[in-house]
Order: sequence, then C-alpha cells, then structure tokens
Amino acid sequence: MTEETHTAPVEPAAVEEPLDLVRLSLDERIYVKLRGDRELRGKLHAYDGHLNMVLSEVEETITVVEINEETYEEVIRTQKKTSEMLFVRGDGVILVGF
Amino acid sequence: MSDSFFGFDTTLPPLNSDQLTGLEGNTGEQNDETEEEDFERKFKEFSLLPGEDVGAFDDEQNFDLSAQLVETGDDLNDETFGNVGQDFDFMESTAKMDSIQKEEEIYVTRRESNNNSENFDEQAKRRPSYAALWGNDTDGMINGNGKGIHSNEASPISPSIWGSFHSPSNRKDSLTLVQDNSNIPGTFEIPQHYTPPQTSPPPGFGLPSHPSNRLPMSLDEIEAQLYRQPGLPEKRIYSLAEVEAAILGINGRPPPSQQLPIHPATEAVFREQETIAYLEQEYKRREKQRKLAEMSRYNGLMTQSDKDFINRIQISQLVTDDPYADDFYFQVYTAIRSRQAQPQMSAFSPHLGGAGFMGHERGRHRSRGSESGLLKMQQQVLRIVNDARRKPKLTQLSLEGALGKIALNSVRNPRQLLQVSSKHNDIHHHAGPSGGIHQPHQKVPSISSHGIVDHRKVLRSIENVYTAVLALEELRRNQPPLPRYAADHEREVVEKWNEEYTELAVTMWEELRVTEMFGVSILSVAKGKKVIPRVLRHCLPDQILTLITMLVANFEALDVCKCVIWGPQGIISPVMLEEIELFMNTVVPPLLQFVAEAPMRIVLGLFGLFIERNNIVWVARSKVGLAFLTMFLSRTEILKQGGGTMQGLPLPEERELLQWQELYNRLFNLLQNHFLPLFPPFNIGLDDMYVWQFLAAMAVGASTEQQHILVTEVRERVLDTVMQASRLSADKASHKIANVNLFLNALGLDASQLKI
Repeated sequence: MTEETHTAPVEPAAVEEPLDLVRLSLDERIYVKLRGDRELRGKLHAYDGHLNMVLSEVEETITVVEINEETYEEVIRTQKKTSEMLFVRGDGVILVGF
Repeated sequence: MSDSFFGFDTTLPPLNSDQLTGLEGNTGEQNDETEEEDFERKFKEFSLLPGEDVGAFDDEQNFDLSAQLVETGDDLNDETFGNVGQDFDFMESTAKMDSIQKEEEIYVTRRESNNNSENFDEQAKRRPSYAALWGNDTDGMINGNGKGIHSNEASPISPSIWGSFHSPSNRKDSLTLVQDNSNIPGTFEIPQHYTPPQTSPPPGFGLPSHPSNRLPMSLDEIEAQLYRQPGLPEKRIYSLAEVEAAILGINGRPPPSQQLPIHPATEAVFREQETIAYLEQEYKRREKQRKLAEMSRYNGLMTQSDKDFINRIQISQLVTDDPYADDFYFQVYTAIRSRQAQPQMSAFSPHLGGAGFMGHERGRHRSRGSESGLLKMQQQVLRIVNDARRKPKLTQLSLEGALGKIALNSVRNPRQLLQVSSKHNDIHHHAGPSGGIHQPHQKVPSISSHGIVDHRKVLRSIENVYTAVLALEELRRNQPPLPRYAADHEREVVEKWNEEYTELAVTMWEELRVTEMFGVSILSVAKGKKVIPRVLRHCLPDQILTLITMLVANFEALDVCKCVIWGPQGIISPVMLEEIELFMNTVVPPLLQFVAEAPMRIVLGLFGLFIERNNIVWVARSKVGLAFLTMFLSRTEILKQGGGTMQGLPLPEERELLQWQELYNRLFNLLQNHFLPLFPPFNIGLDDMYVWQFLAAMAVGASTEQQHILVTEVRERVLDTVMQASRLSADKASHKIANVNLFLNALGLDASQLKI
C-alpha cells in the first residue's frame, strides 16, 4: 500500500491528487477492504469521488469471528462469494489496493 | 401532488366558506341551512359531484381535464418553459370545472326531480332542495359505507374533504334519509329501469350499470341497501371483503317483484357481476376525483411568475456547457437510439433528445424545422446558459451586516466539507494534458521494486493517452462545419480547431511513445490494447506505419507473443487467451486495414523486418505472430497478381518480385521442419483455423517442391482432423473440413479426395 504515495517524477498530467491514483487501476484488478470485515478483489470499471465503484469478476471474502459457547474460544472463519458485477458504495470503503 | 415537489410547505389552512362560495359561484340554491351545513355541503359537492358527473356525462371539457391530468407527457414541456398556458394552470381549469359541475349539478337535480318526483316527494318537502338532498344522501354513504370501502387502501383521505362531515346534526339527517330509502328497496329501482337512458344499455343489464344520470344515486342506494340489510351496526367499518360478501348475500336474494321478467337465478348472477364491476369502476372514479380534489386545495398558491422562476431554477441546475462530460451516458444512449430510429425520424438529431441540456450552437443549427415548442424551449435554455456564463458562478455570498457567509450550493457546486487548494487542478485543466506548465515534481526515490514502478508508469501513460483520446473525440464531435462562404470568422474557427486538434494528436502520440520499447509495454496491458483503435483514428498514415513498424520490430516482446507460445505441455492460461482475443480484435484490424492498402514496397519492408528481427520459428507459434505472417503473405500475393491496380498502385516491379521471392524462401527455410508445431495441441478444443489460413497463404506462393514439403509435414494433422470430423456432429465437422480445405484448396486438392 505504500507505493501509491509516491509521485513518480515523469508525467505530470494523470496524477494530481491521491484519488487520481485509482484511475491508474481502471480496467485492472484491485483489492478493496470494506467495513464489516469484508474484502473484495475484482476488476475496476468505474469509480467516483466517493469511492463508489463498479467491479467485475469479484471475489468477496467475509471474515466471521465466532465464539465457542462452551470454551469461549474464538473461531475465525472466512466465507467467499463471487459476483459477476458489483456496485460498491463508497461509504464502506476503507482502503483500495492496486 | 405539489407539496413535496418544490420543497415548500404547502399545507395551508383550508379555504374558509366565504372563499369557497366565491370560488363556486352562485348556484341558485336556497340556503336556509346553518352556515356550518352550508360549508360542509360545499365541500361535498366539490369533491363528490364531479365523480358522479364523469360517468354520467360525456362532457368534453370534463373529459379534457382528466385526460390532461393523467396523460400529459413531455410534449407539453415547451410550455413549461415558456409561458405556461391555460391548460397547465390547475387553478384556472379547476375553477372552470367547478362552474361546469355546478351547471351539471343543476341539470342533474332537475332531471332528478322530473324522474323521481313521486318517489321523493316526501323527502323533497322535507329538504330545501334536491341538491341538498343529494348532498346529504351521499354524505351518509361516505360516512358509513364509503369509508369502510376505503379503509384499507385509501386511509389517508384528507379530512378536509370528507372528514368534516361529522357534524352531528347533519349526520343524523343523512342517516335517517338513507333509512327511508333503503327500507323500501323496490321503489327506488323502478324509475331507473324506466328512465330513458342516454346511451342504450346492453341487453340483460341489471340496474346498477345504467350509464344514465341516475347512476350515482343507484350506487349509493345499493350501498345503503347493503348497509342496512344485514342488520349490522351502522358505525361498523367494513373491510372490502365484508362488503363484497354482503353484496353476494343480497344479490342472492330473489329480486323484487317489480323487476323485469328474467329468471331470478340468472338475474342474480348478472346483478352480482355487474355490481362488483360497477363498484370497482366507481371506486376508481372516486379515487381519481379524490386526487383531483386534493390537488385543487393548492390552487392559486403560486403566480405564473413564481412558477417560471422555479422552472428557471430547476433548468439552470441541469444546463451544462459540455453535455458529453456531464451527461455522457445519456448522450451516448440517445445517439445510439436515434441512430436506430433514423429512417423514421431523421428530423430528430441525437442532440434534440438532450437538447434541453446542451444549450449551445450545436443544438441551434440542428433543430431547424422541428416544432416551434422545441425551439421555444431551446431559446429559453440558451438564455439561461448565456446568463449563467455572463455571471461568474459565485460560491459564497456575504451580505452587508450579516455575520456569516451564505453558501450558494448547486448540483455542480456541492457543499464543500474540505477546503483543499485546487491550484493544481486548475492549471492542469487549462494547460490540458499537453502540459504547457509542468509542475515541479519532487523526485521521490523509488523504494519499491522496479517492476512495479515501471508498470505504474505504463498505467499512467495509458491514462494520459486516454485523456488525450477523449479530448480529441470531444473535439471531433464539436468540429465546426467547413466554411461555405469566405467568411473570415468561420475560417478562423476552423483554423483554431485544427490547431487544437493537431496539438492534442501530437500529445497523444508522444504519450504512446511508440518509438521506445515503452510502447510495447502499453500494448501489454488490456486497456492499452483497447485504446489502439481509438488512437489510430486520429493518426496520420505515417504514424500508423511507425506504430506497425515498432510492433513488427519488437514483436517478440509483446505479451501476446512471449506468453503465448505453445510449448510441449501446451498450457496457456485463460487470461492470456483473453488477451490474445483482445489483441486480435482491437489492434490487428486497423493494422490489417493499413497493410491492405499499402504498396508492395512497404509490405516487403515490414515483412523483411519481421523475419529479420524475430525468431520466426518461435514467434510463428503464437496466434498473433502467425496472423501477421498471413497478413504479409496474402497482401504480397494480391499485389503480385495485380490486385493493387484497383487501388491505384502500380504493378510490382521486377526488383520487388525478386525481393519477395527471397523473403519467402527465407521464411520457408526457417519454418521447414517446424510446420507441424505451429498447430495448437490437438485435443484442447481450440479453433486452429488461423494455422490453416497461414498454411494456405504459404501454399499459394510455394514452388512445387515446397508444396510437397508442406504436405508431407502437415499430412498427419490433415488426416487427424478429417478423421476427427467424421466423428463430430454435422456442423462442427463441416467447420473442421472447411479449415482443412483452406489449405488443401490452395494446393488444388480437396478433403473429399482423401482416402482414410
């Protein structure tokens, strides 16, 4: 995640602010971390200033922590879903990885 | 209707009785009731009588109004933006309606008095006028049954329409009246049957569906009957189901003796069906009427200029200088739609659909000949746009004496939560991607691995190319028409456009960095491939040649070549297969088109370079590589046979033919003993047509000896394919055979001649 903060010295046009970096990943596969212990990996088709996004061929990973009733042990379980096309509302986005 | 639309609180206190009387005009009734009763009756008449009249009269004006309310589409939009005509003004038309209704009411009551004078004599004496009688009669229905019917679906019936009836005296009156009527169920049916109806009733019609003036009355009476007969307590609120059950119960009873001599059972069925149908109809009608009445509460709240003002505010939010940027999807959608619908409606250019929101010259010069309403709207919009341009957009307003600042927010200028200096953006915006002003970027030492940084550079370049391409496309769409006259300003516009266009095209070209290896990396990314056809549209032939030369020279480095060679294990990831398809569909066609028009000299040059710079045995195993070779071979073959003359190209010179022969022999020698591995692995279900095409192209130019070598090498594959075809279904088999025949026919053979 640290690489995005660099401003490469060569081209001035495409990247002016942090959000512009997302533009570079249009049509590429990205990683999105969401609130509620959810993660998405998919191809970015569109985004806006709120980080609303349209992703395709998405794999969603939901992490669930279950506490065993008797032993009070935490069991971490992941659940995977795939979607062909997904609209992600920006208010749930924590970070975007390229 | 209008309460939330403009965001105003439109709940005003209901009109007082004076206002109402003024609104309704003089109806000539004798008003000897108390003022309260009078007030309520006015309301009743206002809300209910129209409902009765809609069905009863075929009044054109009446019909007009309802049609407008329900069916007015965008075709009246022009008037919304211009001077709103009478028909859009609810207040006026409803007021007009009201007087019409009054007239009708009088008419109805007169008829009523003629028809029913015997039956209602008694009541007539008791009540001051028949109008009053009507009012109270229906009133009773509403409070009792009507409410029960509506209780489920339409509970928010506004109290000001119906709810105000509950004055005790009035209610008592009406209820007694209902009782009077319903206790003698037979009597009230007679006049209906023998009233000459205005339209002839269908045969076998029972009483309730007479489309005569008596009809509303009959329903009410039926309701009253229903209401009374089961002996249920008056105040009970019925559910719809209960009412229906009650109807069935009543109609199952033998009809009164005065009925026409139809068999009782049949009649019962008829009546049942018709009553239900009628009740539904009547319910709908009332619903409509109720809405109308509800709307009319707000009549006259806004003046015409108020409405214009609000229209202007709303439109000005939507107006944009650059519809393709602000409303891209709509513009493209309408463009596609209108292209489909072109034959029928050529008058509607793609821009007319969005005309309201484009507001510049484009809209103007294309709308010639369309309706005047559309023109009017466009003029209005133009004016708004010009106004908006003249006044720079303020984001804040500080009034004298005010402590704070007033923010002026709009769609384009939403409330800012963060105040970040947008200096960079502004410069970027004006200078464009050409970057007249380069921001002094700090050199950040790159920590990350080189591969990632390079990839990011490539992505950035691609984005810059896209920016340029989009700008070029936008320019193309706004291309000024060629000057027809020697008008200087027009020529200036064209020149300026040309300048801009050229500059952008140069920028785009530079970003592609075709001359460096970097260009190859751009083509190794999916979106880099996708942009190529759009780039080439803005390229000069020289530039296309440069691109193709670069590709040919660095072919080995392309991802579609280097990752897609059929090795002995023959596994290619599906992702790569997609990339190949993409390359074949995006990059190859424009290049193919270019080569198909190129003269011998250029094709031979490219052909030579391809053989020179790449490891042919290796490259030819990739689909794209083979496609390139096929492309060169077939083009040279066409030129050799004089196909170029149609394109105005001279026949190849002797020297060129010699050069070709040299190149061909070289290629053949390189590939000799490697023809069979050109094929993808046999049983993975890939279409190997491109290999057969290549072999055919080779076979055409081959000498007899070379043909022999060719056949010997691929013989096995030919036989395998033909054998496989014999086991497949008909259409698949014919495809396989056709593939093989591509090659065999070039040799003068055919698959059917083969003996297996």
